[in-house]
This record gives sequence, C-alpha cells and structure tokens, in this order.
Amino acid sequence: MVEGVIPRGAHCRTPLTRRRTTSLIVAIVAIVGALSACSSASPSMLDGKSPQADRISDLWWLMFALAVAVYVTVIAFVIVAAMRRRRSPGPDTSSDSGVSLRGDLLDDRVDRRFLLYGGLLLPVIVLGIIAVQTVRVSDSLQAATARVHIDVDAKDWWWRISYPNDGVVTANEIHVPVGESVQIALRSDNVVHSLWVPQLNGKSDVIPGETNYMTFIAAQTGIFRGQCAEFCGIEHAKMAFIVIVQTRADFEAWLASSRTPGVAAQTAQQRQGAQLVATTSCAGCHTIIGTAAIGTVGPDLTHVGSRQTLASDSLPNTPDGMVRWLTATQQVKAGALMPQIDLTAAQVAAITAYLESLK
Amino acid sequence: MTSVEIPSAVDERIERVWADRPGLLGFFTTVDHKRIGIRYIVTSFIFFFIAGLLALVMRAQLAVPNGTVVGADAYNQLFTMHGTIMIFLFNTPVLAGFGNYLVPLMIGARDMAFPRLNAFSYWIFVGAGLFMSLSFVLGKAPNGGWFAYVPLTDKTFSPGINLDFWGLGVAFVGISTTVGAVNFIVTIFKLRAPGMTVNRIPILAWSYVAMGFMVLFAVPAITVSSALLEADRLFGTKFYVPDGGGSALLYQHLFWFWGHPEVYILFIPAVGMVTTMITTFSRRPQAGYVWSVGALMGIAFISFGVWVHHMFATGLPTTAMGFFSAASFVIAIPSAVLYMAWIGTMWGGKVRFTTPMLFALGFLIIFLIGGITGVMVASLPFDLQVTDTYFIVAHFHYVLNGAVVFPIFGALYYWLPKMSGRMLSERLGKWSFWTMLVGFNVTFGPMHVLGELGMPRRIYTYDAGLGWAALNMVISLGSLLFAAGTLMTVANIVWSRKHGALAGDDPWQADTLEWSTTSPPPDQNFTAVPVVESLHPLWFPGPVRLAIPADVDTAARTQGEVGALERTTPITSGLDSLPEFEVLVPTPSPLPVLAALGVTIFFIGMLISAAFVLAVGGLVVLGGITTWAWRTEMDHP
Repeated sequence: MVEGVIPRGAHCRTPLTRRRTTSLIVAIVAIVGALSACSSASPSMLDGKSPQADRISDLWWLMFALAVAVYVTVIAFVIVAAMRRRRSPGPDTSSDSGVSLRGDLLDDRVDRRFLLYGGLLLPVIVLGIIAVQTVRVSDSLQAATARVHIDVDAKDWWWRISYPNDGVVTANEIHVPVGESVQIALRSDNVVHSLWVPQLNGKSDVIPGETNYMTFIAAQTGIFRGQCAEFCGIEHAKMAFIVIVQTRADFEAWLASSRTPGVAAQTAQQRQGAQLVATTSCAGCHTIIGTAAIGTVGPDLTHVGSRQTLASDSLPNTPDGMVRWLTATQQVKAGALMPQIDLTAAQVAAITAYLESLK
Repeated sequence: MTSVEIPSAVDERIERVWADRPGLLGFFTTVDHKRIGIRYIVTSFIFFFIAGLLALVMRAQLAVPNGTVVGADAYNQLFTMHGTIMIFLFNTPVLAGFGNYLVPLMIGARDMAFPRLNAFSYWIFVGAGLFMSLSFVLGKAPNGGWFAYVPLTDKTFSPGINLDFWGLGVAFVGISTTVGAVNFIVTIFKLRAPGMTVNRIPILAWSYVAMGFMVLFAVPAITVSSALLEADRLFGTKFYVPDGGGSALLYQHLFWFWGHPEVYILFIPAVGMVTTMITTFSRRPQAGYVWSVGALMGIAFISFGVWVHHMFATGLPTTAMGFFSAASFVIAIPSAVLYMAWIGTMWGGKVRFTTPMLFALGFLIIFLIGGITGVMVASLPFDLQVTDTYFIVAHFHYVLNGAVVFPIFGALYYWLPKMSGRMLSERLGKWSFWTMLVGFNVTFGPMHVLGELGMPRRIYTYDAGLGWAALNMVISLGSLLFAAGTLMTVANIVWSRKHGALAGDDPWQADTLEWSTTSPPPDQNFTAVPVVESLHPLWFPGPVRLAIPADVDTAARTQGEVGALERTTPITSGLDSLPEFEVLVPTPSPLPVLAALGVTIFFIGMLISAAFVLAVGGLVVLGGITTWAWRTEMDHP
C-alpha cells in the first residue's frame, strides 16, 4: 500500500498544483476585469474622481497585490503539506502509518521554522508595510482649509443640502466647484445615517447629537452618485443623492439662481397647480419661497424643477417622473413620510406643471 | 500499563445510577451532557436552516434589479432575523453543543462540572429561541438590523413590539451563554482526568477555556446595551437619547465591545475543532501546541481592543482610531501562528483525505481569505470606503460562515460516529463538501467586488443602471448551490442512522480520550476513569491506562489511583491534575427546565408589560432555583 500510494501522490501533485495556479490566475484576472469593466456604470471606489478616493484606491491595490502574493504562497504550502505524503482516506493499516515519536522529533525543527517565519516574520513584514501606508494615506486625507462649506442634514429618507454662506437650500443634490476643497458638515435630528460618495471619499456617519465632517477635492466635473450607507429604516435603500461637480463659473451661476424666490406661475394650469400646492397638504411639509408653502418637514421645492432627480434619486425629474411620484408615492418609495395624496388626474397634471416650472 | 477488569456487578451498578429516567420524563429531566450537547446541536441546526431560508429569500429579492419578491419592511425583517438567528441561535449554541458533548469526554470526565446548570442553559436557549421566533408567528419580527443601532431602534422610530423581541431576546439568550461559559471553565480547570496536566489539555478544550473567558467579559456589555435599550423603550429613560443628555454612540461602543470579541468567541472553538481534525488525519502530534494555545489566548485578549474598527466612520478622533487600527493588525499575528501550526502538522504528517479533513482544508482555503480581508478592513482609510458595503458582507461571511460553519460541518462528519455509533457516507460527504465549497465561493466571493463597486449593505433593492445586476445574479445562484450542499449533509445524517457502517470505538485512529470509550459512549462516559500520560493519550505511550474503580480496590485508591464511586467524577488539581477528591454528579431533575420556564414567562411579561405575568415568572424562577439549591445531592437513587 505504501509503495502504491506515494508514487500516485507524487504523480498527481504537479498537474494539480498547476491547475490550481491557473484557476487562481484566471480568478484574479476576472476580479480585476470585473472591477475595471463595471466601473464605468457603477459608483466604484476604484474609479476615483478625487485625490482622496485615488489614494484609498492606491492603498487597495497595494493591499490586493500583497494579498495575492501571501495567498498564493500560503496555499501552495497548504497543498504541498497535504499532498506530499498523503494516504487513502480509509482506516490506515499500513505498517509505516503508525504515529512515531522518532520522526516527530525530527519534524519539530520544521514546525518551528513554519511558526517563526510564517507565523511571525511574514505577518510582521506584510502588516508593517500596510500599517505604514495606512498612516500615510490617513494623514493625506486631512484636506487643506476648505473654501466651500456645505451643511448636510440627513433626514428620513432624504438629504437636506444647504450652503450657509449663500442662503441656498436644496435637496438630494450637492453642487460643488471642481478642484476646490469642500467641507461638508453632517448632522441628523433623527437616526444614524452615513454619507458616501465612493468616487470622492470614504464615508462618514451622520449621528444625532454629533457633527461630523467630510472633506474632498473633486478632480473633474461630472455627476457622481452617493447613497446612505448606514441602515436607517424602511427606505434605507432609496436614500441616494448626486454630487454635481461643476466649474467655478457654473457653480456660481447655480448659487445665484438658487438664491432667488420661486418663479411665479405663468400658465393657467401652473396657476392651478400653485393654488393646489398652497391649499392642500403639500404646503404643510414643503417650502416654496415666495408662496404660502413654508413647511420644513420635506425637501425645499423652491427650485425643484431644476433638480435632476426626485425622491432621493428614485425617479428622474421629468414630468412623467413627477406624475409617478404624485400618483404612486408609496409604491415608488414604500414607507416614505410623504403620504399618498388623493388627487384627480387633472390636479396631478397641474401640480406637475407648476413644480416642473420651478427652475 | 495495568488494564483493569471491572467485575460485572460493579459495572451494572454504575450503569444503573447513571441511567436517565425513561420516556418523556427522562427527556425533560436529563442532565447528561451528551444528551444536552446533541440537543443543542439539533436545535441550533433547526435555526441554521431557518436563517438560511431567510437568506435565500433575500437572494431571490436581490437576484435582479428592482426585485419584487418582498417589500422593504419584509426585507429589513429578513436580514435582521438572518443575522440575529445565525449569531445568537445557531453559531453560539451549536458550538456550546459540541463543547458540551466533547469537552467532558475529551478530558476524561463523566459530566460537566454543573450538570443541572447545563440543562438550565440549554432550556434557556430553547426559551429564548422560541421567544424570538414568536415574533415571526406574529408577523412582527425585529427590523432594526441585527446590531439594532439607536435611535432607529428607540420607541420614536420603532414604535412596534418588533424591537422588544430583539432587545429582550438578546439579554435572554445571554443568560444561557454566560452560564455555559462558567460551566466550561470550571469543567476544564477541575474535572480533567488524572494526569492531564496543563500541557496535556487537548487544544479543543483550551479553545473552550478561551471562549469561556471571552464570554464572561464580553456578554455583560451586550446585556447592558440591550437592557439600557429596553429601559429607553419601555420606561422612557434617556440613556441613548442625545436630547436627554444620552449618547447614541454609547450604544455602538457597548454593542461592539461585545460584538467584536463575539466573532472570536465563535471562531476560537472552530479553531479547536480544525486543529483536532488536522492532527488526527495527519497522523502525527500537533505542531506548535504551546504556540497554538498561546495564540488562542492572545486572540482572546487582543479581541477586546479592536471594537472601534466597527466605528471608523463615526468621526472619533483619528489618534484614538489609530490604536484600534493597530490592534486589529496585530491580531493577525496569532492567527498566522495558528495557521502555520496547521501547515506544520500536515507537513510532518501523512494526511488522509477523509471528509472531515476536506472540511478542515476548505476552512484553510476560506479562512485565509477572510483573514486577509480582515487585515484590509483594519486599515482605517480603506475601511472608510468599504464599511457598510458588500465587501464587509463578504469578509464576515468568509469568517463566520466559511471559517466557522465549515469546521462545524467537518465536526459533524468527525464526531457524529461517536455520537450515533454510525459512520456517515464518505461519498455523499465529499459531494456535500465540494458543493458547499464551490457554492460558498460563488456566493460570497463576488460580494467583495460588489462592495468596491459601491453597493451598500442592507438595501432591499437597487437600480439596473448601477452595474450590480450581473454579480447579484451570480451570487443568488451560488447561494442555491451552497444550500444544496448543506442539505446533502442532512441527507447523509438521515441515511447514516440506518445504513451507516458501525463506527466502533475509534474509527479515525484518533488521539484524544473520547475515542477510548464506546460509540455512543455509556451514560457514565468512562466506567473506569482514564489516566492520561501525554497530549495524545491514545497514541502515546500506548493503550490508555484506566484507573481502578474505587470500590474494586481501595488499597490502590489510597496510592493515588482515583476511580469513581458510582455517580461521581474525580476532581483534580488545576495545573498538575493530581487527584484531589470525587464529587457527586447531580441526578436528573425537573428543576432546570422549570426555572428556565420561569425565566421565559418573566421575559414574556416584560415584552407585554404585564406585571402579573412578570410576578408569576419571577416566582417560578425563585422557587425553582431555591429548591434546586436547597436539595442535597445525596438523595440520588
């Protein structure tokens, strides 16, 4: 049996090891491929649009390279260790299968080598490299003095965005100028949330009773998706937002237009809509500056028509999207604090026409 | 090497005093650690499959974008209960079950140190399990996440009874865990067979010592955190309410002060199992025994200094977080020591590829990934990106599912022959293993990528345009494969009850004491108490020497030979395991189940805020425990 087993093991070892290595390489290529291929569509942390996100993504690739090296090495040892003198699974009856003390004394030296080099030396070196990089990246995330200050209040389940120095309030849409250091102050008067824009920086929790800060410098213009990352109740999944990175001039223009009161209704249908908003329950929760609507529970609608999405990135802000939101509120976002309001089709059309005109 | 002939009259009498009462009465009154252990394992596995089913429903929901299988609130209940059940009602108790069954047998004792407390601990677990399951029946399962962060879980944001099931249930099941931990520690310190000196304690027993101490220091934190939560909810206190001078962050600190050690509380016994199996199937003494025991203790200790790595995004001062980041790196070193000891054992051995060994090897393949990603998430800046994403879901499933469930399945294949007397099918076992291994990696591997692509945890739906759909579909298919693999083992167990080959005392030619007795062992475990002369008593120096039962030869007994008189087990000194005296082992009793029933009534009273029910429960507990403490142990049959 002994003679039968050992050559078989020796025979199998090489192809098996090679096959595993090959499949490992295939797996790694697949992972890297998936990460870069999907990144165009996904808000991927590895597709950084800021120095902060880039540094973290560099740290990831360093750790990934080390991980692959460690994994391949260690698993190679596992495979060799398991295969080098393997036996059949059944009860061991061969004469030399017994546990022998003599052989084990010899093995002790090998054991100690594994423990010292693999158990202590290897992890200390690898962890040392990662620890040094961790400290360096952590330090570099502390951005310079911010030029743009934004307050974000996390609500159930949307984001109030305000620019305290400019008197601008909006929702679920953070406008920032490109290439400038931005500081966001995060507050919550309800539950814990977490602000996360993977392409701009790591996340920061929003905790009642505390103020946290997030800083980043967006490196290029564009629209980057963010989402609440801390479970916050029934509609945690639909608490997204977008960050719109624009040139300084566009940003200034946006601030300027956002400072103005809501535009007055023009057409008869819009006027009917304005009337409905002021007299139905809409006004109890929403503000439209310059009108009777002064509620503060829901998003400010003064310039809702200029926003790109509705209901925290649940719907595109088109007339169709607005109609859907008004007619199927609790289907689009079950549990949303905005109730389903009983309106006729004509009333919905009027309100939609009015709100969409609020550019 | 004196083998002892035990006169059959003595044998019969010993068997008589150890026998349980027949029938249903025996079922409720037994204090036999083996029956309780198996019961623990069976009950836990029922919860395992319930929680697994919940996971499959979640995967059905997430298989495609904008899934419509369940709604938002149902989904939130699903993931809350999946996590809660897996942690509190499967992982923790199933390991308690294996420990219960194996520790006394492995150390040559006839039962746990406190058999009635042991029964109590099991019935408390059943009570708490039913208590939490009741929420399903009522359609009001907890929905605040398994971590139940405040203020989401306070009365303002979660007015329903849902969260009370969680808050009370967690404190409830904590009683069982704590009581069990005390029992393990005392058992292993004081009930070891003569000669099992401190450097001959099997690694599995050491792992239960480490686990026991961790439980004693960690569980009070979650008991306090959920007690304060319930005080806020039921009595209107403001421990966690910022407006009332409380702190929402305080909850997170308390929760994770338990929560991180808990991961190692689950992992360390699994390490003990894997080390045991690798040693047996490598046919050589365990490499680096002292190193491994030291590493277990090191992990147990360091695990109390890493909890803030769950809170890196909460805005604590960077310097403070640096400490926890460093500690989280350092804990990788004892893990690496353990890993190298496994490789070393196999390197010097002659490995047999049995099903349990395959599960141990599967553990090595999976745990290394979980360990490496663990180091990654210990890195503060990287964690800020991946925390609360699917990367974390992947990471902790590699640790808690891969590195705990795989050893548990291996342990089923390894020790079930001891428990039932019959072998499982190797063929079906290998099918099960490979299906689980592939299914596991297809399920949890792609989650790493999803997290990096920006997918947060705990979302019941996602849009098609985010590039997450393909991987989610792969994951959902993988989860079916994994589930199929686990069911093959269930089928295997059922099959083996009738058709499995007879195991015999020692089917694996293993080294530890449980294999020196029959399969299944007699009620008294060992008719004559074994005397231990090495770390691997069945391998060196030869057949296990048995002590002479006391009433056979009193002369030998006075020379230090401890047998055991009837329903007793020897007590030995902590370090040298020299015989000190014998203790009577408590007899079967209805009091543990009665006291546990009282506790259950008490918690139901809390749940529905009914003073009368509370009082009844309190009186039953008080009466049960007083009677229990009052009766002397001499009145056994």
